[in-house]
Amino acid sequence: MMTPTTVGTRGTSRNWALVRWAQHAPAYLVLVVAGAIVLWPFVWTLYASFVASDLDLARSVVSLDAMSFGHYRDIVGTSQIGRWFGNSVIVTVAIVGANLALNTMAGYALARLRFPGRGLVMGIVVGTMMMPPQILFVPLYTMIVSWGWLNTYWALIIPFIVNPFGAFLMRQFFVELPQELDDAGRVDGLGRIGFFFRIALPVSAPAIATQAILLFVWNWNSFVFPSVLVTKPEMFTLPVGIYQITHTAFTNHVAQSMAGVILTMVPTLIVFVLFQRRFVGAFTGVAKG
Amino acid sequence: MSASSALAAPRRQRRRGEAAAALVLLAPFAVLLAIFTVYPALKAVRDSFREFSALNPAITEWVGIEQYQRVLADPAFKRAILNSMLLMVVAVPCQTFFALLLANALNTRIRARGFFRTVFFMPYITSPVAVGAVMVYLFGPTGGLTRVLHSWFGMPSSAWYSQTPWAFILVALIMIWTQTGFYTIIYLAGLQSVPAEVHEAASLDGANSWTILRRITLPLLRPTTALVLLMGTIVSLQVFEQPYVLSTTGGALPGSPGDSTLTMVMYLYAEAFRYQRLGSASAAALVVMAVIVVFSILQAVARRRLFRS
Repeated sequence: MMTPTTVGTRGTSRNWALVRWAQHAPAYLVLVVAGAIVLWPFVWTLYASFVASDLDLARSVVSLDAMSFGHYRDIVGTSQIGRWFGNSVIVTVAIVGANLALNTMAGYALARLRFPGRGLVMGIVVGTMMMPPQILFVPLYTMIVSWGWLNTYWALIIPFIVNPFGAFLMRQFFVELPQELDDAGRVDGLGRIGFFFRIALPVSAPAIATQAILLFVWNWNSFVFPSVLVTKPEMFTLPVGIYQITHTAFTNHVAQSMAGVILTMVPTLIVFVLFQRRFVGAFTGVAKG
Repeated sequence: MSASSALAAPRRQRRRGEAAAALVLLAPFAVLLAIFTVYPALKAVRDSFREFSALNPAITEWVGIEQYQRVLADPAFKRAILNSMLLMVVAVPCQTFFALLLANALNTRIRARGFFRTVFFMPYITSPVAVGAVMVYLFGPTGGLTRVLHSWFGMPSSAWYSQTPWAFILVALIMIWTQTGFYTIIYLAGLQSVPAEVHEAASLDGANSWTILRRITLPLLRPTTALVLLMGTIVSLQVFEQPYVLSTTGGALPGSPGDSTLTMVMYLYAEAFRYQRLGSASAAALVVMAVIVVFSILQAVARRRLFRS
């Protein structure tokens, strides 16, 4: 794309702003229309969680004065959503923390160290990454039952603390590091493990941020496994609880349900906004692999 | 290599050091992957030949391929396979097209790019159960979208999720709405690795933006498109939460109305945890895996044929 200065100095800067705007008009149009379609359900949910009563949702004009946090107070008071939120935080933080450590270490070993059986392990990582997780519904369930782990945090956390995709992502990243870094590390007297912690880890922040976002989102939103691994309401995670609220207990309390939905949505949004800067770039490596 | 003394250490000793370091770094991951992914996957294969109930998983009976025959003869499973395939055929081309469109719009020097990027990604990072719950109200009997779409386009005036074919259409729309943002980000990463000079050179040569897109950008994006199509295929064949949440509203059976929104994964979930038939659920799971593998290969072959011509 040409910049104004290379073309000439005839037009005023104002004209150039107009030209540039016109050039980008199609892009703006696409983005605004798509943005409206994507945002609409979120805006409605937020609105529905603040209206005075469910009846307002059927009206087209509603007075904004009547908006309140009442439904948030009510849902926290009448359901165990506070407890579910806590469960989701405990489970997701534990899973993501363990994954970041273990996947990253494994990805480094697979990328930069030579050892017998490396090809086999790499094959298993790629194979399990491609495998649909639904295969594991029944066997994991029977394992958890036979260990007596039903309705425990162990059941919600331990089976999920490593992820082949995470290891693969890190391996793709570490493979690209220049060999000179290794040599420099060895000259400085760092062992293999010292090199991992002192040099490889600090430069891998973008890949780790990507892993953190994806693992947080996947596990925070996970529904199938938690819905069968815990049956007691006090052990529910948020998605399981939200399903129960919207499908059994509070079917007629739309505004309250939407308050619960908002509470479920906010944490993943915060995590994404915090880490998103590094996010796009990290996918370049995945697409190459 | 430099001639430092550390580098001059005997090669065998260095190799042994590498193997020891690899053991320390890899062992925790490998052991956990073996216990919680590899072993259960193998167990699923064995379980598919054994009959047992969730009520007492310890009592099992070897029945050979009987359970494969049973699920493959089940009209509900046939319908579920068909529905999943239909969902793939509808959702994958739509979301890939929209993702490409949005990524190109985002890859210009416009304002608020970060804002739009975040907005487009929001559906993907939102709990599918939460999305389903919201859609139940928006497309419910008194929902805002039901009313608007009815008065503007004459679409149904009552709940979409309780009538055919609107329930299925709604599932497909939600899938596209959810997935497009994710593939937009992947395309954006692909676009950003195309050097800006390529575009500048083309536009100096007088190529318009459509020609640039068709002749330069799309060919350069082929690896990204391959990834987007493969992931789209796999994900659309694994759909579970959204149709499950929509169809069970008001206590209806999963996949209702009829079996019109029943997907493959919903079928195996119901076999296992609604009807307690763990053996046939395992058989169904392996059929699902086979379908996914077959379609992943088929679309890769089709893509290669298409691009070559």
